[in-house]
Amino acid sequence: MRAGILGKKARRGEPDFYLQITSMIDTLVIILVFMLMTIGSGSVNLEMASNLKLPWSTAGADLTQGLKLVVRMDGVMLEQEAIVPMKDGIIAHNLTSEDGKKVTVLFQKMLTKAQESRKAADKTTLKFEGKVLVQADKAVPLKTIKQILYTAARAGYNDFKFAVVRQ
Amino acid sequence: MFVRKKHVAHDFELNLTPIIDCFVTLICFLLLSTTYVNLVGLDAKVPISVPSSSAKADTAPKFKLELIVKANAMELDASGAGTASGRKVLANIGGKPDFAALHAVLVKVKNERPKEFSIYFTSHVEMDYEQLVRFMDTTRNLTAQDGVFAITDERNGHTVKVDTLFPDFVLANLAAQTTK
Repeated sequence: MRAGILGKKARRGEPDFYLQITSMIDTLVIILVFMLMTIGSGSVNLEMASNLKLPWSTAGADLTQGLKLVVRMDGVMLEQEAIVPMKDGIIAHNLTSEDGKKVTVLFQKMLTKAQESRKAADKTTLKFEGKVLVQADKAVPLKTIKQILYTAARAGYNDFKFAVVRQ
Repeated sequence: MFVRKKHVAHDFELNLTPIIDCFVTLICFLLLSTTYVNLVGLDAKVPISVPSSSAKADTAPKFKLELIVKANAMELDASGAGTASGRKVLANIGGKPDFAALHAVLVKVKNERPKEFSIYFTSHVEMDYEQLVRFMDTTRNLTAQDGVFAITDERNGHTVKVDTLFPDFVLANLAAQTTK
């Protein structure tokens, strides 16, 4: 039948044109599967905070769940809530206690979060692990990082995971 | 008695247009929503004092690896690491830490104690977070030139290949102040 039509068209001098859809669908399916796999591979959905330049690293493991702490040059955010203002990555001395080692407001917030997590964990079989996922700007001074880690440790969070960009 | 049905041939063409529309829309959505930055995590811990384990540590010789960063040099203090034990001073080159030398010494320690994974880090000088991550990288990564390290799993007797140096990075002395 088709040969007949083609034959008629050919006899009439009309050009034969058939779009090869099969190969195009193959390509689209492969791209779709690849992109779905790429998106589904991450275990943690971590949103990149704005005004933040993470350091590069050649190593690192997959990110795990934990309390999300963002340390930018202009402040500290806990679970997307601005907690402590900073200037050039330095926390003002009046916002700290214990001779500048502990960040007071951050400690109170983290302690509350730890207590809530412990209560929630008690109701289930899960255990409170005290994990913190730290996203810090690469220019933040070590002094500030140490203040924040000290504060977190005092609030019951001892296991830190620093988010970095893999090279 | 069976009545043979007359086979009727139908011209059937699958309408692929809506499928292709869906695919194209999905791919556009995925392309726009995908982030191409590969975020990973570096582990760090802070020391927790446990009185009972501290008492045990006094009686038995125990492995401890400590990296101390000072103004002009790094000091790597290894105890309980066999021939690699002792304090090694690695002077800065051009005012910057000699990461290659540090890595070489760490490989020697690992060669003596492949089952150990912890390193204690203390800095007496101020540095930025990027440099801290560089220290974490150096104390963690093994390269192909460093050789192969293997340990025997005591639970099942299997040999396990070790592909990291000292990944348990413990930020010691958090309460200490640093100087510029």
